[in-house]
Amino acid sequence: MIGRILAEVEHGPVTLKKLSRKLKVEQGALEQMLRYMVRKGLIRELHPECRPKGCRGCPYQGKCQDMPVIGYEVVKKP
Amino acid sequence: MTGKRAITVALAGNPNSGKTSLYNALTGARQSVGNWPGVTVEKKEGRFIYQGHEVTVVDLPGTYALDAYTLDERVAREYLVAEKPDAVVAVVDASNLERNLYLVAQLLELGATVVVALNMVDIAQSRGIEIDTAQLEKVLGVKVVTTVASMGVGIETLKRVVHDIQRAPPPPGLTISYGRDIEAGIEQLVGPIVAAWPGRSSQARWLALKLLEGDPEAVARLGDDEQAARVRETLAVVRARLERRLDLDIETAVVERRYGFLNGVAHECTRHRADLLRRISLTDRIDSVVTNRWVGIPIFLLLMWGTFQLVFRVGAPLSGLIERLFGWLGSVISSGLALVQAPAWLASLLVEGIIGGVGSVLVFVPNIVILFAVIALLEESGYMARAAFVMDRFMHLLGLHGKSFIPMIIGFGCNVPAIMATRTLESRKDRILTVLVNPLMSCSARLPIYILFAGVFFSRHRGLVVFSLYLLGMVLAVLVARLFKWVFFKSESAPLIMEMPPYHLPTLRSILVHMWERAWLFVRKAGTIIALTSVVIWLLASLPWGVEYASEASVIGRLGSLLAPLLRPAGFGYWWVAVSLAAGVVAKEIVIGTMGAIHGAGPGGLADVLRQSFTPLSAYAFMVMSLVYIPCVATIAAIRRETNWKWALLSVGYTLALGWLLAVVIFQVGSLVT
Repeated sequence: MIGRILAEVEHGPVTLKKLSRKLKVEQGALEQMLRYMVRKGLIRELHPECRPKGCRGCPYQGKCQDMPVIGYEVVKKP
Repeated sequence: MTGKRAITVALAGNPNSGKTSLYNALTGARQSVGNWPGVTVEKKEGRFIYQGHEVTVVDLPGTYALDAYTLDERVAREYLVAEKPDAVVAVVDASNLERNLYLVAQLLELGATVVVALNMVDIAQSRGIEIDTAQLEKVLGVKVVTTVASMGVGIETLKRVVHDIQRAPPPPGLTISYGRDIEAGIEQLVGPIVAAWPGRSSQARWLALKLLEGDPEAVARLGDDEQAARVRETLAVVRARLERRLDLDIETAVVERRYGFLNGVAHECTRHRADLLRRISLTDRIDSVVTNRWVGIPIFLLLMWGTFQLVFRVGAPLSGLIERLFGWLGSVISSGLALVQAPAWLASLLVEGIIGGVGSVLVFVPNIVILFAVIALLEESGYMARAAFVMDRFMHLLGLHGKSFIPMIIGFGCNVPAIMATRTLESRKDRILTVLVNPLMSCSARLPIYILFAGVFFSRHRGLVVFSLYLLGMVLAVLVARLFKWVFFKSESAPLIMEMPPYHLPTLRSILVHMWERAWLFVRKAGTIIALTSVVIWLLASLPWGVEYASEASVIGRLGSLLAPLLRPAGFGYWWVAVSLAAGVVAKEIVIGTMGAIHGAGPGGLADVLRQSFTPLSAYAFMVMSLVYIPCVATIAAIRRETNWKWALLSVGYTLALGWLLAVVIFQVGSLVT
């Protein structure tokens, strides 16, 4: 399953929902697998981040953590 | 009490599986709260009486698995291994069966006597999920009781099953096959483990598996005696053999097999009602269009175009009001100062310098507020995540890192946090690349320039013209990134899996808060940096004393005249344009503020000056130059902070050269055509 996830992702960016349908895995279970893969260093979580320093005067000041895009990025192959 | 044997039951389950509701439904008010030994994790114990037996219910921390990665997992596992409760009620969220079964499988592998409480069956049914409980019982070899704990459904049955299970023969347990190689390893280890760990033969297979996975707590559990040493020797041999034979590391191979098995169980025991499945959610329906491979990008571009139409159509009348307000303020101050016979320089400073400079920028507040209201609407509705996704696909096609588009979207607001957001990129090369091209994304500070020039020279198509500039910024960012990647870095882009938040209707309050924050920041900037720069510009335009204000003979006129010839090929070789562009490096809004201060005019008067000096072609060339040339000082500082001086200077150099080159090409080629 983990190998299939990595193989699917190699074809380009994919949403969690589409990946779940393609692999015929419940989305919750897929998320759990992704958590395991994060722990193993196969993928990493993506959280838009910014530091308070340097954001002065910006309309997004202090709000970067609320940016809706969260995802995972493949780090290396097993 | 009746004197009958007390029963201890542990309650295990994933977070959000309804475990707490079930615990409360089972124990009612008979609860006590403490801590697990040695840790600050809360331990809850409750009791109920069934047919004269006192049943103690121990609520284990909510976990997804029984590995040793989190404190909660360690606490739960330690209790199960050391205390061996009479039964474990595994609370399973029926609407997320496959995920929840992972913990159940681990409980069974541990040798626990498990009863599955298939909870939240009502939610599962509403989603069209039907679970064949008889089949689930058969496959897992456990009793399954359906419950809706929040409504007390199934609680009495669960109590009875938990009570009766004490008298039933021990369950067969669950044996997942991990493949020939791993199974051979387990078999080789079980013998020495049983010898080293007498009285725990039911947990020997589990311990063998954990040892193979490299679980540090399992290794520590072995102890230090001679028998343990034998287990360690065997383990080293088996691990070395498996590492040679398996494609994956041992733990991943075990996890992979377990997930595969549970995927099969879930498919075997779950039926999806076709009629309910056809009822695709609204989010799915919208996503099928906006994230579509072919129409996703055109929809994104259409939304951008619509945004700028709105910025002009709704913003123009409001800007007109502010413009009249500043015109009135200027004449009131002029007349007032004339009445009190104030010195001429004071009137010039206040009216031409400050009101001309600050007023010509503040007039664009409505447009900027509207732009940010639309961005907030798109962001809070969940659309921006989709925009990032469709652009991600596009970026990948160009061989760039898809995630780079996320900082670029932030760049529409301000380049500084966008550059900070590149920290999410793991590769230093990708990070530098994205930092370098980020200033090409048109930030909101450039908007006053576009609004003024597009309004004066392209009044019928002003929205389209501004849209073209934003688009040009994105296209240039992609092309420059491609070029820099080819010249400086050659790395592979990492693939992505993205989560999409569900769509929701943003609240009016959140939009208003966003608009207010943006408006306030803009006004504050106008009252500080822009006002200060206007005073400096006024001073330079008035020196040496006695010179005609803002003439070529003034200090600023002489400085501008040195630079102006460089801008002549682009069609705007005027000294005051050169000075405005140079001042714009402090902050892009200052370009218009400087023009206003030099000409001592608000936007209305400035429009007349522009009409006399620019043509539509040179105006467009000027807007392109403003989009591309040198980032503002705050952005340069952010680039230096995130990279080093070398890259910061490169970004200054290449944007200046590119901006100038594009402006010249647009003007010269355009002059040939028109």
